[in-house]
Amino acid sequence: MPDRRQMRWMRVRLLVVVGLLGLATAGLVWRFWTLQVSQADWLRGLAQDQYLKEITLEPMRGPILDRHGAPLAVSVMTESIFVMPQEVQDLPGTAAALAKTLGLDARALERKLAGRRQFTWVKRRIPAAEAEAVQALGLPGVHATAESRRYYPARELAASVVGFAGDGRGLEGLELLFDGQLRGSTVLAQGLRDARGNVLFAEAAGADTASEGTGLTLTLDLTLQELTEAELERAVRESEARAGSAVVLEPHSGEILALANWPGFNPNTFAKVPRERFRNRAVTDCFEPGSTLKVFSLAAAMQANALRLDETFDCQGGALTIGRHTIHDSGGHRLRVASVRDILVQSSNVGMARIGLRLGRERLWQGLDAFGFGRRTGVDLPGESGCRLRRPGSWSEVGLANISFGQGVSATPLQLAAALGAVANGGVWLRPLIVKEIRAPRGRLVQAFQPDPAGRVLEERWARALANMMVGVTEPGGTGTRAALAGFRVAGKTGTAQKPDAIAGGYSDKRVASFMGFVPAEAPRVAILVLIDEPQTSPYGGVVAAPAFARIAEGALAYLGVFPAQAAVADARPALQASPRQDEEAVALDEEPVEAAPVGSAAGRMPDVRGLSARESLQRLSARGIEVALLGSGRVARQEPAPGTPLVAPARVRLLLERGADAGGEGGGGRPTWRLK
Amino acid sequence: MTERPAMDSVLLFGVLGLVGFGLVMVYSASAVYAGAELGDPLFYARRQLLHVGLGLAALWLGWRFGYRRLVRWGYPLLMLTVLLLVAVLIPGLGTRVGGSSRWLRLGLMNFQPAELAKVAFVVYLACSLTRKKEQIQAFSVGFLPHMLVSGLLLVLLLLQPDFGTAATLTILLFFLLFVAGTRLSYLAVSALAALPMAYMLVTGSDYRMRRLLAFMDPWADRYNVGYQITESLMSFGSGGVAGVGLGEGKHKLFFLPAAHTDFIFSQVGEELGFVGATALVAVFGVVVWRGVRAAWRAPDLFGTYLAFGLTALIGMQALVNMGVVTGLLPTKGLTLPFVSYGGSSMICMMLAVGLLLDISASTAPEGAEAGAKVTWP
Repeated sequence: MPDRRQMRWMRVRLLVVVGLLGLATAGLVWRFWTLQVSQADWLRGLAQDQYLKEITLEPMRGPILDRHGAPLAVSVMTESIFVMPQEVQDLPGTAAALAKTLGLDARALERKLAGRRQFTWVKRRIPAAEAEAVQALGLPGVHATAESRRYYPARELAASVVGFAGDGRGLEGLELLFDGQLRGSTVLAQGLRDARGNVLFAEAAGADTASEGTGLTLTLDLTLQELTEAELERAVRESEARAGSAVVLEPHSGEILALANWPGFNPNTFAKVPRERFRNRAVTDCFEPGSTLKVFSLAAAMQANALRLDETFDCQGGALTIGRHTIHDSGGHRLRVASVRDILVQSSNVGMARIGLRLGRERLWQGLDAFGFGRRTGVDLPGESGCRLRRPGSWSEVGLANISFGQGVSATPLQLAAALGAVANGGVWLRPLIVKEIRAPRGRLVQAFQPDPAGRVLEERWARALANMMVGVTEPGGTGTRAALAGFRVAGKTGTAQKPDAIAGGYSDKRVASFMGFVPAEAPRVAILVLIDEPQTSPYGGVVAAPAFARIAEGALAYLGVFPAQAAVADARPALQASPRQDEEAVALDEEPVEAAPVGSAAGRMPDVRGLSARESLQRLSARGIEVALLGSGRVARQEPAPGTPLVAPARVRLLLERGADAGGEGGGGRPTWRLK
Repeated sequence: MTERPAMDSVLLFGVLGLVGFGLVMVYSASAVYAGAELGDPLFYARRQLLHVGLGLAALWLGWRFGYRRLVRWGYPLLMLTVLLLVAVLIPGLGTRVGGSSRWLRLGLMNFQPAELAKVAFVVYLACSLTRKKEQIQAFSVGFLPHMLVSGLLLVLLLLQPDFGTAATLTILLFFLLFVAGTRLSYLAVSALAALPMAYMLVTGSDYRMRRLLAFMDPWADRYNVGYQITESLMSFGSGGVAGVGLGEGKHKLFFLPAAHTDFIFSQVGEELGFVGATALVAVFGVVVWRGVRAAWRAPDLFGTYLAFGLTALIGMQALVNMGVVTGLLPTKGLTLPFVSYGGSSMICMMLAVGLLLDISASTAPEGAEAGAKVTWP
């Protein structure tokens, strides 16, 4: 046995070692505290940076539909191909194989991939068949992902209203203005990622709700839109004009049923279209209205009780000299003493100037201002102009006279249409509506837009009297007889304005011809404005614009189920059959080649999508690389070319949709099927 | 001889608690990896269960064999260890994993002689120091032979290379010599002499140099040499006070290499937080306390040295492992005793516990203690 003393010293030394271990342990626990309490947030942040991958769940963009649910803009899922360059083993081989399959330039692709280390798109939004072909190559580092693609099945129809979106962002039109709602809320999902970059699962719950943005239901009626665009185009072409705009309003609600601009564009291929075509000229461009404004000057005088309807004015044979200026009537009228009605019907500048002079600056301004001139209407469309109505203090005597017959004042076609609507509905100015409802993905109503009466601008009796006088315009002896419709009283007004010369000042010899009117005059269902910019064949609204007005009005009335009060009127149908859309060939299947689908991807035969909804058929067809044009709403009733037809690239199909009996509901036979005959 | 005292249940249950906890943590840390790599999430957990079974057998063996009989085994055990350490270096016998040959393939499992070497080294030292008790202060008897034997073992270990075990043995050597009463001047001089050697070792090996650099500033090269340690720090720190919850750790998702072996404590820190990590330290503390208590009460010097050496081995290795995981020490490649995945470590450590239990059960007769002024604990 060791002696006691040695034993004791050994134990002391043992305690020293234990003490050292104890100190080390204390240091260790202190270290735990530092890492897990003091630095925890910092370290946790660093850790999360690597294992939490923020996945942006981009919801499918909400659809834009017409008032009956026909699609104007929809999103369909497509495939996109991307490359993770660091995973690629054989870069030239990969680039070559990809280029061959996707129809790209191999060298350019290789260069592009060689320069990148991270995620790189190769080709986006391609047909599923093409994506499958790429997947079948089994190239390491090449991946496909589902991406939604915006599709405009109505093509040119209402394109300037709907606008378009690119790369998930609204760029023009309603797509731009309502981008936030349409896009929906992007959900930032916390995806858990392992060190190999696999996303294990998305922790976010919202994947469901984020699947689609809210949709817009417009006040537009695709059938009327189609009719309006066709007639506008015809009028512009026949008059060899530069451009044209047309607006069809429901006067009692302010809802815009159709809004057309020509020339238009196909939003599916917006990148190939010159920018100036994107403009919705009916709301962005200002025109001097000319004689159409006389209606509102007259209304101002009536509302101000500045004249009696049985009064007469001396029109002095069509010339009125104010200071150094002489005002002339156009068209060589030789009106002497004329009634108020004659002044309007024959569109006498001199007569209107006399009324204006009597009314005075302040009251004329008040009247025009009430009808919305010089102010934006507040319609939900981007880029709207308020145009020009100067303050009355700055009007000269001749300026006052000029403004009263529509010179020296400007307005957008929509401003004019809105003002016309106020006369048509008995004197209440309504803010024009283009969006009727905003609906959440599963149909839940988010917001409904109600008619928005800004207040009475004209007493109803005056509105009635004015409408009656306007009927004279389309009756024999008026300036707009070509706007007359069999069986209906049409209230209208022609307009022929000189275009101001922006460079030289004064007026150029270019004209803007317009016609505005509403039918039936006693109980208007539609208020229509047709404006033709720089017509060549004739400058007169009564010649150039009135026929288009008549055809639009006739088609619209029949479509809306408004039939002539007089039984004598034969049949509304012939007029409808004259509707050009029908006999003109496939409007939606015209010229420009769209996204030339590579030969082979559309191989096979045309699938049968009859009976499917617009979206289902779009998905099915676009997945095969077939370009789709949709007309109408409801389910597919007919397809051209017929199902089973061998496909030739680039393949296109035109689908005619119908709201069948099974679709039920909604206004019964509200939508005629005549278009589809 | 009176009836044999009962086993130290505090020590036994402390160790069994660590082993059971280790099983849970091994499963938690390895399930995803095993599932992805081997198609069986339970692969490592099941094997660890086998290791625990073998470890319990080793514990029982140590307890039944008794430490006293080990006095005669000190040198043979040392010889066996040297042979195994040589064998592991021979290509064909040793299995190379990740640049070092540390394993002997033994059919069912691979065996790591270095683990045995630690226990055998302690047994040898306890034997030798007991035998030389009188001349312990003599340089040629009490100091030099131990240094030479240790030097041989260290060289063999560094050839693998296994710097961690070598460092552990060195520290154990110093501890035991110190306790046994070697002159402090010898220890101090040899420590000073060891420093340039350690420096040469570190700078002479690219991988050890990089580990050292990574240790000094792990964030400087976070994605290369600093990767494992920074991942470990992020994992450990992410736990915060209470941890993210058992099984909820994220760094085992392939981020942290060796999450279920050497760096399992990092997972403990992440999943159970400061509270869990400190509690684990406390359990090790209890084990060390019971081991020191056994050394204190041992009826003979061999028992004292052996108990102290084995306890120091367990305690040191736990401290060093935790120190590595929390970035206090350079990466070593040492397991956390009883907790980390690994058969050799488990078996050897459990054998050590079996011996400790035996020593603790063989306390000196009542009277022998009477003279000791210090009564501790």
